[in-house]
Amino acid sequence: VIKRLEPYEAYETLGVFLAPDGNLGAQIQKMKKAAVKWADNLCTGSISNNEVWVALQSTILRTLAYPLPALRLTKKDCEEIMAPIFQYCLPALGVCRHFPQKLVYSMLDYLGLNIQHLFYLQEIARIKDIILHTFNDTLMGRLYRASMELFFLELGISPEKQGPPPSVMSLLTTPSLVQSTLIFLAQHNIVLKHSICYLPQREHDLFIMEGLISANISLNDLLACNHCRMYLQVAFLSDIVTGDGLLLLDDAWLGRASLQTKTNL
Amino acid sequence: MMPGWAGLASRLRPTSSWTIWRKCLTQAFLGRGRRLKFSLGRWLRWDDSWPWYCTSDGSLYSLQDGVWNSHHPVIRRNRLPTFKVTANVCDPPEHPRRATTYRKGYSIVCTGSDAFLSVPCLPPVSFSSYLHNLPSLQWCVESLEIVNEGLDLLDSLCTGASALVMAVSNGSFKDTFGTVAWTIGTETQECLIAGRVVCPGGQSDQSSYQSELTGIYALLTITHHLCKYYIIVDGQIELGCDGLSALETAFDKGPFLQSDFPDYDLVGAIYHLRKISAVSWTYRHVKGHQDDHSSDLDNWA
Repeated sequence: VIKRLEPYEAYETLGVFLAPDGNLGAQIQKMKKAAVKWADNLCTGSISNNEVWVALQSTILRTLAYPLPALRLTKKDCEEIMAPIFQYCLPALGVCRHFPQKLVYSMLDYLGLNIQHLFYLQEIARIKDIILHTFNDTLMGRLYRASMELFFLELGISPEKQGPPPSVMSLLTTPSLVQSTLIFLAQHNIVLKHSICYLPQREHDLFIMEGLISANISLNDLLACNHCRMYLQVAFLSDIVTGDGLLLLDDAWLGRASLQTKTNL
Repeated sequence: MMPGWAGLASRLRPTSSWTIWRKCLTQAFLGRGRRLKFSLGRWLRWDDSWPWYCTSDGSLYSLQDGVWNSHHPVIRRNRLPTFKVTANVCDPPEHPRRATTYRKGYSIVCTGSDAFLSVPCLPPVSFSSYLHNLPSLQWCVESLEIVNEGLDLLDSLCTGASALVMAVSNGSFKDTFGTVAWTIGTETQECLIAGRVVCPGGQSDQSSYQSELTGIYALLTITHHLCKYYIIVDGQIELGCDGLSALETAFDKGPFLQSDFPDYDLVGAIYHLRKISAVSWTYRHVKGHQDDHSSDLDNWA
């Protein structure tokens, strides 16, 4: 019997709740429940500081880290998941429960507790996955690559150049694992080298969105323009300009999607 | 894997954003009216899918499936020259310039054109180079012999001597390896186009049945491209094959296929080719290995 689910309903596959529409509500609930249960169980027992440390590192953090490469939790989601653990764990480790979070997540070299933040674990795991699978040209690697190509197509900006600010990236593109990674990389000024490129078709050609961003168009207007651009299926200025390169095409001006104004990618 | 626009969900036409779009385009790119602040230069590369070209003398050409067509002018002028929609097949123009056009009733209006930065690599000018330039067909045309660029076959098809055009294929299968040889000809000239093909797929996909189907597919696809290249719209070919089961599957079943049908992909492709074929097909079962049983072999054997 095949059970029918709505697109927003998640189904557990290999220990991870995933919904076709990409919402992570069920998985976050599952992780929160696991964190509360773990804290409750350890509260009722009496174990030493060292045993609490071992239990933290080898049980609950492992449980929470397992599904991370398949998720795109926000920093806030991760902190909410970890909250009940720290409520129990910090006093049990002999640390004030109001110990600054920056120190909790810092390395021992900086006198921190050396507990890794779930959000950073998630992003680093995904970057490693992307590099490993695209290098080995696995099926997963090809899916990552395809998703990355779609990201740049939707963003409408040259993949080879420094991207726009992360806020613009998240506004203009559909949420996805790759989007999450590329925004994380942009936030931390990390460059991911890849071979995706969209070649201009003419001399002096440029991406429409690049031109709009450099003209200091507001974010809301950029979003509206990107909707129009995506509807017309154009990326370069040459897609919406006459063959002699002088005038804007009627179809592009009036918002008529046609074969003439479609980037061949 | 290069998904392109097809990989993105189709978008509904925005309703209220076009005013913003025009305002932003004006702010970013436009000077006076719809003229760009800076003009774009020459085209950098040839795009096989682009259909419209001009020459410096003001003639308009369209290019479809490797065939050039010349459009007659209606109004000759420097700005927005107008041409007829109907066109005649012609030779490739010298130094084509990529153009943009729009259709206005029964006319085509050229909105502008510009040259390529380097001399473009023009589409193939012969049927054999056309076939060899089709990436999806490489496995099928690796070993191909074409007499007089297919013009003799074209002649046979078009002169109405339909019953004389014979297409024969014979597949073989041994040790998980399938091959097929095929030929299209007439009673007087048996081999006008012929080829040999290694059957596609993995070892476990191979069978004598699949080899026969591959032969039928090869005949249909080469004929389809011949019709497309020379714009053949009518004709009849009789296909002979010793695989009765493959023949019946290809010609007597369908048009709907179950996904668990043996060799679903090949049979589906054959159905599609039959559906879009410009020529009509009949088939006959040719008894295989006739030399084992009889000393008198017919033409088909």
